[in-house]
Amino acid sequence: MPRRTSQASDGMQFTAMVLKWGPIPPVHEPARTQFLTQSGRRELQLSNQNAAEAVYRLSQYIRTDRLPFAMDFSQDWNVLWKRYQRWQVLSSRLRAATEASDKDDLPGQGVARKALEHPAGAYRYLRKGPLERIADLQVHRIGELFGGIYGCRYEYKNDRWFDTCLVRMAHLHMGLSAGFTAKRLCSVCGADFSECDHSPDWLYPVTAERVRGKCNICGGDEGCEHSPGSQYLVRPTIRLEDAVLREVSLTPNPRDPSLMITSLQSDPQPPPPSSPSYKRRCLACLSGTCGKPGQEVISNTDALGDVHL
Amino acid sequence: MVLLPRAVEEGTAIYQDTHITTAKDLRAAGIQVSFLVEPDDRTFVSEFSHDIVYQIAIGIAANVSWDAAKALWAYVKARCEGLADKNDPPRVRLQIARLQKDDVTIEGLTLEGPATSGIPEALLEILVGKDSDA
Repeated sequence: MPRRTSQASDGMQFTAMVLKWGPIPPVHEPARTQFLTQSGRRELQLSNQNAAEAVYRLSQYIRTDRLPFAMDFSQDWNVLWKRYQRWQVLSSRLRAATEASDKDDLPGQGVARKALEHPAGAYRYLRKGPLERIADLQVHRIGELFGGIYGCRYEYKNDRWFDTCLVRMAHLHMGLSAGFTAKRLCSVCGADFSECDHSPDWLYPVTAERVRGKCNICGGDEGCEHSPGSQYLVRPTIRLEDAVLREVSLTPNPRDPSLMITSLQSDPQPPPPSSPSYKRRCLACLSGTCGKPGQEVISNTDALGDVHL
Repeated sequence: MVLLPRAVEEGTAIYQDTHITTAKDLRAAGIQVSFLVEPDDRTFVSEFSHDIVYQIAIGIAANVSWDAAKALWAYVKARCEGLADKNDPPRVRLQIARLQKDDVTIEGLTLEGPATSGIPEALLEILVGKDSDA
């Protein structure tokens, strides 16, 4: 069992994504549900693509009929142990085939990580909707693939251990909301959008030019399809200027559900690493302790404890 | 009619971001409306999680014509209906800082409630009287 120490006295620390630019409709706007569903579906699609690519890369090094995904999410210890052993065998074979050390990136690791980030976002978008369970299953499946083959580790920084498990972070039912002030300028004339004559419902002819290296039609960098000097019909949009972040709050109902905690201080704190090479491995997805699909993860409990790699 | 900021900090008036097009919309509906301060002295706040999801504060200096009152009522009603959710109606808040109506002056009036609670109708009643046919 892991050794435990008392909780840090200066409060729990976490890192989180607090702001993302995009046209997400506010809470209670009718278009919001459709937007969230579309975003969630897109994330699921990207996850499937990345997962397929990761498995393809794995298949070039290790041959296996099927990966040991536990779709029944059994809590039986014997079943869990056998599954864990199968993952260990596959992981060892991959390391042996690629002669990779612990510090090297293994084949497919980057794309598998992306495959896990996408369903985490999808689950956040699709929560409380009809596709929630599909996204939830995907999070657990890819989490197990990543943890089983590549291994997940706790992070140690600022003299503290942090849990960075995307499976658990996605299931924390709190999100981040930022409040900020900014001037709103019209993308067509550059004047204050609340006063200028341009309506967001109309198209206006605008001559394309580069403003501070950006295209004034699409906001893109060099290489966009708009030729300087040519006229295009554009719908006015709002440009933010002099933005000042005023507050960030944790809320159960953030405007953008994908703005979530990305790492959370382990509580209670295990002892600090005994050597620079010490790593704490997270086995939650393999041990079933990161929750079954449909279950809310309440705490960042330790899984099987410390593993000295 | 004057659109009032939510706060003034160091000379800068802070408006809710939902008001970016409010003045344009109301002018298009025939209401003479202006912001309290010039564009250089105003900024807009975006809060992505807030109990009050729609809030408007106005000051009305003179008698309100029937057309203007009805246009304002229609605007507030459209905003409230756009937010309406029968299962979980968001809260809206309407503040009238000052209203001169015939010999009566109303100051510091706040209407607050769920979007489905008839706030637009209450606004019309205040502006033009109870017996008006909306």
